[in-house]
Amino acid sequence: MLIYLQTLETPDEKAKFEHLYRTYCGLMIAVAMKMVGNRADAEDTVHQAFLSILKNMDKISDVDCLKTKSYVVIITENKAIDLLRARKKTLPRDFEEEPLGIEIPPPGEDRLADALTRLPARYREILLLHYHHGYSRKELAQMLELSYVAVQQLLWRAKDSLRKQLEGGSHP
Amino acid sequence: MKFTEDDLKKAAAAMDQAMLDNLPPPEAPSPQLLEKLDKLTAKPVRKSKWKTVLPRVAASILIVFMVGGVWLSTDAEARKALLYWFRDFNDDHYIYQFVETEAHQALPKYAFGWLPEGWGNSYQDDDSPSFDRYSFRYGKGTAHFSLMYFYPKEGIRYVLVHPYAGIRVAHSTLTVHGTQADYYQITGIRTDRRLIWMDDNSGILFQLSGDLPEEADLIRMMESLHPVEAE
Repeated sequence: MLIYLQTLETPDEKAKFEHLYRTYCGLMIAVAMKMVGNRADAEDTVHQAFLSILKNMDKISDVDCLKTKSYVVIITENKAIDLLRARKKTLPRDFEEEPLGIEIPPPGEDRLADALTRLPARYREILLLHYHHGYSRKELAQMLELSYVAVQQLLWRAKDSLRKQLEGGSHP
Repeated sequence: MKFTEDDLKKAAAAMDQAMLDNLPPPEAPSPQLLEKLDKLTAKPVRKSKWKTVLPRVAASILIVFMVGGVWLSTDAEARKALLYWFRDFNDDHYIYQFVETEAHQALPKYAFGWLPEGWGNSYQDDDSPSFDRYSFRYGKGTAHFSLMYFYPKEGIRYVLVHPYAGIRVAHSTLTVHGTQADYYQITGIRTDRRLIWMDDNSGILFQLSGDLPEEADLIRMMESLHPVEAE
């Protein structure tokens, strides 16, 4: 069970949210389908993703820009992993290290960027949101429903995994 | 290979572009999903709809009265306060919506006067203007629970959702300071327990969730909750 506080109080905020889900709902279902494999779970995932996005609507200034598109894809991937984790009866100890995310081909121009695409989804997501989208640790904690300390640990582990990836060339 | 924060920013931007270039084509959402999403932007109940709210609030009170018979023992002022938060139970939503419109003064922070043995205050998670959240941990282990309290603001809605088909929610009530509190026990692919309680005097909605102590300790703990000076 999850919770949210509905804070869309003005017609503009509601219109923005409606525009957002009309624009990206289909894409988010397609992304979720790739990960969870069936329509019902994909729609559950998208619903969860929108509940999360709803809590952070103030961080979206332009619905149609590429950063917003990337953001909704990342949140969908994150929620799909949550669902897969919730449905798995026995979790491996370091479950977040399983690369369950959507497949991203290496850009091929930058060794670091190529290594990023090979990271487990949880690590990729947090590095993208922090370094590309510019969300602070505190904002990430709210967005991903984690404690501040957990966000710090996840960022540290993601960078450590990236370093190992670059040094050894092995998968985490 | 070492990398700097700037290197990471550039690499993250390149990966982001690669992700955007390789997304699958959109798929049409079902009418059921669109309906669920439409509900998220449903207009909050306002004073102009008070007439439609009142019978439903009365029905809620009646149900609680039938279950526990306690709410009628509150005085008239307290019964008025019960209208601060309007409960609405749907198929997959439990909604607590603030429906008063009068202005409220700044509200206090809260702290427990008593915690079961082994539990300690862990940290404050948020400093949102709408709510506060504190985490508590048992010893140095992983068991933990959260206390959240939501300040009454016009139009604010606190919504519990259980969107997974594999989740079962058992709703019952416990009595905190003579007032009925909603107790949710969630089982299935996720387990969770929540206690939601509305304070008659302040209009604040409290919620405890996580690895909650047994019911007797839970009630004692909630009844020890008291306002403290903000830091």
